[in-house]
Amino acid sequence: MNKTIMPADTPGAAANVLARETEAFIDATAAVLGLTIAPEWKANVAMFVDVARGMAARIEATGAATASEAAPVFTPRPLTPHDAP
Amino acid sequence: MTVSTLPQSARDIARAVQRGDVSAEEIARAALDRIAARDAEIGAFTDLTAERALDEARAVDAARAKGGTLGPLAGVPYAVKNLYDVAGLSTRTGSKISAADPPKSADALLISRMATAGAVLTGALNMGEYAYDFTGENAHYGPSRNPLDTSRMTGGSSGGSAAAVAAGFVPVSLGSDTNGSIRVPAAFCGLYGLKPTYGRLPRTGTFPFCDSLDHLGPFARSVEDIALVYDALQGFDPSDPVCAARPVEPVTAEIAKGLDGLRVGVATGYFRVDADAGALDALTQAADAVGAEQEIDIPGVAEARAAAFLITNAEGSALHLDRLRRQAADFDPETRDRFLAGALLPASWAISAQRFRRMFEETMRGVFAQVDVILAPAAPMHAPLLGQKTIVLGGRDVPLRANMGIYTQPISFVGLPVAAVPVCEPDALPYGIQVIASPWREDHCLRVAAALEVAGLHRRG
Repeated sequence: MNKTIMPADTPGAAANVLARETEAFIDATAAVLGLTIAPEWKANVAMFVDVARGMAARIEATGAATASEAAPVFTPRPLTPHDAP
Repeated sequence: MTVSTLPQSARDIARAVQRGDVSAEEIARAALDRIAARDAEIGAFTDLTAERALDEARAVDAARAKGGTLGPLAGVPYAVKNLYDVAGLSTRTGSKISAADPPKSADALLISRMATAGAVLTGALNMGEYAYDFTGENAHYGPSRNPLDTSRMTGGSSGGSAAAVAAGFVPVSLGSDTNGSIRVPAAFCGLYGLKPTYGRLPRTGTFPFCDSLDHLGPFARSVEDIALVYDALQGFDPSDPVCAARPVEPVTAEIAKGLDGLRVGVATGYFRVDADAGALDALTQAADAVGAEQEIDIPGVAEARAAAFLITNAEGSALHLDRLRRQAADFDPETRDRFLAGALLPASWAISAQRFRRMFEETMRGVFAQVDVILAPAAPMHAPLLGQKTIVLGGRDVPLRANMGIYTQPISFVGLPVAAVPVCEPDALPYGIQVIASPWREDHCLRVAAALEVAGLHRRG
């Protein structure tokens, strides 16, 4: 497991590190995006970020990042009568 | 006819109206009366279109009086999840925010196709906010309640679509399914549902949740009614860039072919680990009924579910970024925090998930070399109680909303067609089975679903 992506149920001291990382991530990213996250919403938001983090770790482990073409390939459609086959 | 002798199924209604045994207006008025009598208890509808329903019904009757040919759904009452545009209504999408948008000037494309087939729109149906839901609960409009036990969830997000059919208000309804939002409510409410292949039905005029994974489809109380509606909905339209340029491939005449030549397998491994005893028993009953013996352990299913989760979370949240900036407090609290979290996710996570989608498609190519159809549970349990926040999976309490789709998400992730089939023990709540086929083989799904229906697995005691 690499340093930046850990499963959401990491135990002990590592969990405290995870919690601090998640909180710092939320604060920094929300500021960049112009999102206001009320204090009473933050614990839930953090829980869902951690769930996603665990999911991302699963995907990273598959090697998908370099192994295949992404699914939503864009196919240009004819835009003028001259483009049609 | 008296109210008690009126036909109930879409097939029987259309036949009776076509023959002139009953008027479409009589059928429409009976449906509106049923809704008026019980929907305060059920909470299926957010908007009634009674005048429109009567106008459409009278138009069907007038066409018959003139000797015109009536459509295959002549006089059939139906309703739609409130993320479908309905002319004259705001498209709520289960939200307070979008309910304030101006009324739409035109119907969603699939509503136009239902009208062409002669169906009669009775209204728009309750749903989980912005479709990010597996419960059918809604902080703004109240929950849709399961007609089989009103203390329980309908499932979501197409909760009202399932409730309206299970309560007998209408014989068929339309919903949407991104990660299981047709299949889970069909399972909880004891109904049939169809999530067609990704790209089969054009989504034009519906409010998206996650374009990469959004599908539309019908609910009904029989396989034949599902097939009738699905056939009326089919057809390429370039207004949805995802819609495939395929011909209409009717299934209504196909379902009578039975199981001949179909290789049916049963999902094992991931699909059994967290299912409760009732869900496993339902799967066994379904497998026995169609003679499915080959067990299929699909590799990479947990990763497929994870990837679907990430794509949904990131793409769905990007859609609402501006609303989250300006009106976060107006969201349903049960969706707001997940949308906020999704808006923050690194792009690399979502893009890698899209790359894994291609990898998992190749995995499924290998699976469908072995079988034509796979049976799997639709949900790990029957309908939970309203208000329940967590479920136990693998011995751990986990959030219900994020986990009720563990068996449906990996399948819609690669766009496979799925029929949802109910399995009911006497005096017990139903479970649901997914009947999964390879892309564009909705006919295979519905042939197996019909065989299960004939075997009587859906009948309650």
